[in-house]
Amino acid sequence: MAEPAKTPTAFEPRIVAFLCHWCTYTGADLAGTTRQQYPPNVRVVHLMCSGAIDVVYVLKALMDGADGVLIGGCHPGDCHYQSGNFKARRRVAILKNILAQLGLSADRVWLRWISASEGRLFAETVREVTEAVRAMGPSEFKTQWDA
Amino acid sequence: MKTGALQTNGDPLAAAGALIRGLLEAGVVDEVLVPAQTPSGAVSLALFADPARMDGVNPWAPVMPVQGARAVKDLAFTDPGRRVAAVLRPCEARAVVELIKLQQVQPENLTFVTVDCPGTCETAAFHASGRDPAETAAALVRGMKDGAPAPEGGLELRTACTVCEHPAAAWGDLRIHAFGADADAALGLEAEDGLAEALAGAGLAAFDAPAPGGRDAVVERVVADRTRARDALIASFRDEAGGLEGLRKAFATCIRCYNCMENCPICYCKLCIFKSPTFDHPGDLYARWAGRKGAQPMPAETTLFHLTRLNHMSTSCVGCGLCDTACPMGLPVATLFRSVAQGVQTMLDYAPGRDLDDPIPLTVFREDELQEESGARD
Repeated sequence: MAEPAKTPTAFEPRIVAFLCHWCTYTGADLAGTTRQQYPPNVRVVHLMCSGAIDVVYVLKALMDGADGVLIGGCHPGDCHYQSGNFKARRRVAILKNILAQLGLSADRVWLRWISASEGRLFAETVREVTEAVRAMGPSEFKTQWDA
Repeated sequence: MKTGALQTNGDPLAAAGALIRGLLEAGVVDEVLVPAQTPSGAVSLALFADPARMDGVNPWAPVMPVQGARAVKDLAFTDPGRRVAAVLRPCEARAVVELIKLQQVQPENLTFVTVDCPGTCETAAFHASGRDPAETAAALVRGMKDGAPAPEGGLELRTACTVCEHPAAAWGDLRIHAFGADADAALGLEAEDGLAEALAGAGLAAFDAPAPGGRDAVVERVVADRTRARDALIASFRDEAGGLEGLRKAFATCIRCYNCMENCPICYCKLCIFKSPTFDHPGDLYARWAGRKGAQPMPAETTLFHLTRLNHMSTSCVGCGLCDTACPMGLPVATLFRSVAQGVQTMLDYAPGRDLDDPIPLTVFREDELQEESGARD
């Protein structure tokens, strides 16, 4: 499918995705092997568990060129390490709470539960995140060089 | 808990000092950690083993150069092996509660003595004023009869103290109450049963008489005033520091000395990630960042440092304000942390230092929570 021609200034969102090994990463793999189409805007970082995420890396991505961050883990109750995704949920809730309090864009951080069998959901999620972030425009950390 | 009274005979500081020294002399503990005026004239926390050295003991020293919880952690990160009493202000005690839960303090051999706190001045300003710490402290304690007094001689309390809504000793094995008390007659005491018996047995305090009355009403008024001041401070900070632009302006002069983190009682990591090689980037990376953005501040990642520290420790922030005291640039670090911590702690229904049995929020979870706050869809 031919993409519409872009002007040099067109904004193409850059999404960094932190995906857990057992569910969302495998779901992303399934999206590929089943030929699901999704935007090429996402760069994947492979983690063993969503519970392994430290928000410093989410913030670092946002402050260093990402317009959005997607964190993908197993559905509640399905974590292969029992409770990693629940702990990730607390950390993400705290992060979004802090960003919102400071008037920073908390809505650039996305947490989604996608299982290994949900390749279609992974593709849909990447489309959803990409389009939402496209509508938001470039991250404020990009436009202000001294952040 | 038993309530009692400490007769002061016109000198509350000497009476409290004698009580604390008495813990050593009566063999209730082997050593005491307490603020004191050292022979050099400075106010410092010191660990006393010899009662003869304890002349300058001052639990209401008008400065807090170091957070007592940090000293407790240094002392009891591993069991000190002797029974030690630690004399702490409420913010220090609340930080100790957090550090016990974070497994940074072994409390088995510790006895905690807490005092109602009138607040403290900025250390540098107080020392520059040349005032006598004991005189200033005594005046403050006397002033606590009617509420929260201002220090004499035009000195101001630290900003964190003016918005502290936990000035009353609410935790600890022995609590010395000054709010509402006529400090020249008697201070109130509250002690664990065993400790009360030991103190009464040694003739150090009386637990058969009721404590001086009137404290609750005074504490309630101080807390209400402070809570109003806190809300006003947070509101004005949010107006000024809202958005990335406001935050950058508020912290524009940060020199990344890490003093805020070094002096924070809650930041306990032996090696902060920001001091680790994680953020020692190869030179070509800085060069590429500059190329991409057109310019790159050096050192890089200053906003990242503050935002990350907020995420890592605001659940347990007790609002002691030592980050303010430690900041050489006078940045409103404590106000930022108080402001953000309040939102985070409210969301998680967590009050740091309230109870040893409340688990640290990042170590637990509920299956059905924070769906909306995390944005996670199931």
